[in-house]
Amino acid sequence: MGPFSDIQILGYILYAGALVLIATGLYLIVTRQHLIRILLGLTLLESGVNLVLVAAGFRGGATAPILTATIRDTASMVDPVPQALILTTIVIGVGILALALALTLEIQRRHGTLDVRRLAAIVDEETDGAATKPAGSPALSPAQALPSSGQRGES
Amino acid sequence: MISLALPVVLPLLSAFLLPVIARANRTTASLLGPAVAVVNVFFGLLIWQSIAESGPRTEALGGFTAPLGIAFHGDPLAALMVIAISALTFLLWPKGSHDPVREPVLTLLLMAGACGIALSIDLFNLFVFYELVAVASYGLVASQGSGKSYIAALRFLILSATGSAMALLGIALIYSVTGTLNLVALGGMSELLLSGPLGISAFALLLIGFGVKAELFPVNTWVPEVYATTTSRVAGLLCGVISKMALIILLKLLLTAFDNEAARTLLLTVGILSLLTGELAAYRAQDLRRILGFSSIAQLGIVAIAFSIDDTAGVLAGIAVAMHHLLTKPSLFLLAEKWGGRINALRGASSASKSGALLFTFIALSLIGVPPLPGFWAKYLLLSALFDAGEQLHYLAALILLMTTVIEAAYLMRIITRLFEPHAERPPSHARQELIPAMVLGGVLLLSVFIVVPLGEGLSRVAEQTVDQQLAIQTGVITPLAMSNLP
Repeated sequence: MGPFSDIQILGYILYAGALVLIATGLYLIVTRQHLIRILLGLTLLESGVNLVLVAAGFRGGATAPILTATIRDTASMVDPVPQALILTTIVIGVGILALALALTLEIQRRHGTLDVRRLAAIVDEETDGAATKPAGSPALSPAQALPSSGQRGES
Repeated sequence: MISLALPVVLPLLSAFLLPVIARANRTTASLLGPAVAVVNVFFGLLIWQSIAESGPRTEALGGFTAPLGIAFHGDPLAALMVIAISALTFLLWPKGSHDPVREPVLTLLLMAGACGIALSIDLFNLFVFYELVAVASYGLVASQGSGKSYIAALRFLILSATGSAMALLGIALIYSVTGTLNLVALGGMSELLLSGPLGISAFALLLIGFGVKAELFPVNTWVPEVYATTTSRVAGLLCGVISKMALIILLKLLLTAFDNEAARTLLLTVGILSLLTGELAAYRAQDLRRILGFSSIAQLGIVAIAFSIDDTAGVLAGIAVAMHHLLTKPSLFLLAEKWGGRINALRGASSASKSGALLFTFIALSLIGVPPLPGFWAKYLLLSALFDAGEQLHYLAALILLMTTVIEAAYLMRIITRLFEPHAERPPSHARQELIPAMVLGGVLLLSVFIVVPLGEGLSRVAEQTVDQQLAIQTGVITPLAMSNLP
């Protein structure tokens, strides 16, 4: 055995893995233009953060935190709180990913592209355009800018 | 004595019952949401009253005490926010939506999450409520149903979810250092454990995460896009209530876990940058709703500056600016709903709708801070708190606050001039009932001009109890139990 015990190495592997996942996720989110790849990055990022939480509760050689009639020795168990926390964050993550994919599907259907730069340009064009277009270019009337306002007034 | 959990439980419960009720009877379902908001206002008032009688109190949910259980803490600020959240939700209730379920359910969830943030003092619980609010707001932004609102919602989601992952990383760091997430317990050990580099990185991560909703620089790129594409009511809710709740999470953190100089300086710097960039971007924008969005970035920057001052005066100024913004910006958004679009299209609006234009002018003047309107007092409180704090960065903040007020005056005056310019083509006028929510908010603002002295005293009591209570907690009896103390 080298200078580190097996347990320590396991702990370092956990943190190193988490770091790699977080870095990859952030890299994808920042550099990619394709929505699906960005969402993949988001998933990797969330997994990495969850792994940090697991690592925070990790104890070498400890057992699962389950209390029974005979086993009441909590000192030899891993910390249960982070595990409870990541259950919650996994559920939140899945929910958000599902919502994001539903929105992606709808965007693909309506605009035919998943390139975030082009999508951002579409929003800018339809609302402000001040930064990209000189004043006097086909200005939007309030009715166009607010497609629902007419219906709202009537209903 | 009223349970602190009620303002969260009631909207949550009714949100999930609403689809069932809507299937049986649509009229009942459409009345349920506003009714819940009104009842929630009463809950807030009852909590306020019980706190005024017997002092702030902490309630362990389900009988599990810290560190295993999660706790709600009722202090005057929490009660005030519950009242404000519920009242604003009632005023901005989604009207005339074709779907009787979708938007009301999301709005109820938004209200439940916001009330939860106001009351909770467990960091992870705060995070969960924050996520609840976040998911509800993505849905509300997308519920407009137009192509561009989907784009805005998804881009908002990506930024916000990335921020939330960063906040969670911060929470994980805090947990790995301290072994607890209860803010009370964290307050007791902040000096020892969280003032080092690891603690500051944790605070920076939390600032990125919660800063998304708080519209803080540099994670506020969603603001102009979302506010320009969604309905005015949703924009009003997001900038009126939700952004304040994110800042209140940061205030809670500063008062307990991160009661140190480095964290305050970080928030102050971010606040100054938000203020500066927000006002400059607002000056440059041409679309009314974008201008209002950028201006709200600046206003929230002002609140962040105020909360970063290590003094009761700072918290008082922060609450005053936040409450003022909570009244003014939603009503401006409501007025902008009909006008919308580019500000050049606003010419002649006053002849089409006199009361709308006058109301806009009145509220905009208060936003600039023209005495004796409430906006002036809020900014005055902040300036005096900044000069009392007396650090170099505080003087810089005061200078920038004064400078940006000039910029703010310039672009708001530009809009007001357009409103009163005679023009052949008139923008659509407001129907009378459309003006009512904005009128109510404007009325409250006008009323506060006349009761500014008792109002100021009341708010300073709130600020004192917020700070005092947290200080009392810090030295209090709750200490984190080690794992070995488990049953």
